[in-house]
Amino acid sequence: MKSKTKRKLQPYLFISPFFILYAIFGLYPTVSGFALSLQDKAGQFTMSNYQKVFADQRFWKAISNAAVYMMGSIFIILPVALIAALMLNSKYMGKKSGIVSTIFFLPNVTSVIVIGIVFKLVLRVNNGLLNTALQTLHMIDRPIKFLSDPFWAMPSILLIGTWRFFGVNSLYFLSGLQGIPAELGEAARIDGAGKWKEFWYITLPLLKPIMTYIVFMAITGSFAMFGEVLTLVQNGSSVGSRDSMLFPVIYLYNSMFKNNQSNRAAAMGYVIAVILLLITSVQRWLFRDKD
Amino acid sequence: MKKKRFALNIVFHLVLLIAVCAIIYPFVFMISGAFKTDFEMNRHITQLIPREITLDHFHTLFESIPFITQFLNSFFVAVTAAILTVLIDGLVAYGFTRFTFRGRGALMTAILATMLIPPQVLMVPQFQMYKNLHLFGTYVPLIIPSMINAFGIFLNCQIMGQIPRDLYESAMIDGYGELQIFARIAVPLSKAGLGIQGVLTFMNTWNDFMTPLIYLNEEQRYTLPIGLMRLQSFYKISYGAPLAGALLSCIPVILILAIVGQKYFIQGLMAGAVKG
Repeated sequence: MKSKTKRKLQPYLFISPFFILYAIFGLYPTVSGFALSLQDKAGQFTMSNYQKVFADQRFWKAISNAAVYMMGSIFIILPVALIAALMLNSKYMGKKSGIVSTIFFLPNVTSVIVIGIVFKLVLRVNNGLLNTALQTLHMIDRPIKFLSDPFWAMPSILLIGTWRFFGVNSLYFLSGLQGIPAELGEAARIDGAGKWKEFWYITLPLLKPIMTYIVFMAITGSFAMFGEVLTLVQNGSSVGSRDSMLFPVIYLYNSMFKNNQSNRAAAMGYVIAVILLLITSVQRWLFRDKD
Repeated sequence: MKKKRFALNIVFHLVLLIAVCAIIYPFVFMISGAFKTDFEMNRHITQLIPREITLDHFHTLFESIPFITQFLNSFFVAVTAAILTVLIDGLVAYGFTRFTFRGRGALMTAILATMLIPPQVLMVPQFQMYKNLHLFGTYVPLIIPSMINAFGIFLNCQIMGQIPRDLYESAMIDGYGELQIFARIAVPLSKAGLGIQGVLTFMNTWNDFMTPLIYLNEEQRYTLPIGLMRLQSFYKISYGAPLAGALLSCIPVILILAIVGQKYFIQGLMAGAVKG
């Protein structure tokens, strides 16, 4: 009898480490954070943290920056990655060696501080790599302030994002493309469909599962942006000139550790989370199976 | 037709070559910058092969920050996180794939649902909690997050689930206990998944920037990314020393990618992602 109960308990013993750790370090803070967001500094109940967050223009600036970056990564980085994957997968390419995938993967496992150190030199105004190159080619007259001009801030960050993520995303797309049976394309061609039609009606729909994952990662990644920007612009009061590089997590971090507003920062965390859940729900709805 | 095919062949390879160069270029630039004099860096930034090779930046690096200590700190944290994560993922995946039990589906869903909670929510309360537990300034907050990462459990359930049940049955007949079956059959047969998870955890922890920035406050305890960030902020004008540090900090990750076998590793990783 005793051994039978033991047998019944066994599976729970094996899976318990995750649940115990998650209860302490994941679930408890999620709840206590919500409580924190509803308190003032003295511990009294208040809604004012949320009111302040909603009325805070800098907070919305940070959200809109993240949204712009998100659109950029979905409509610039991902299409570039898809094109690269289609090329890698085409019959013209033949066999690719593993070294190409390793190179494509490399930027994704490079520390943000390394990226910050290198790209600061690439993008700096005086004797920056990009400015010097563009000037040597006579494409610009005077150096562009890639990091300090509000207009160029977002394109610069997107440039870094493209460098960092297009490779790994094309590997994801490639693995999706390799799962598509070749007969499907042949059948379409026999039916007289052109290349473009084949892509639009066969390839793209079959890529939907992997695309759902990639777009999800792009959305959450945009709202989690932190280290890249922090290592590029050493922040004084604003992050980038006129907050052009202020991202939600950076703002949260600053409110918490620089301005010591932990209750407000907790509320901010929840507002960011709700916004993110809304966006990802819309994404899942757009990517739903339509039949 | 043949001509068109040949032309496309050339164009595609050319585009691929450009892409590969664009990805590699910043790394080459970093290596070159670590050995270039500051003067040359300012005058000829586009010149990749230095006219004069200098090791000064490495001297400056070792003099300005306790580089070796911080490198070893990073290594210790990343290895510990990798081992503990692999252990937990293995145990949990074994529990889910070996047994059928009440609530199995619901508990698996619960694990996957944890992925939906954006980590931004947790930043403030987790900090308060670690501080109350007197774990601020220790490596515990840097190691825990990877141990409660649902993706690794999911990936390993996929892989462990493919082990034929007969193997378990015959091991039981031989008188093995569950822990023995786990250690002698399940773990060796799912080396691929556990290995990938270990390597990924090592890399993520090695590169982690935000958590050590929040939780570490002593230079001797810093992990490398924080040490390098400090170094970068001392040197507003010279970039040689930070570049030298960045170069050295990339070595473990590049070594791993080279050793673990590029193809094997990346394919395994992709398999996990596609199913997810």
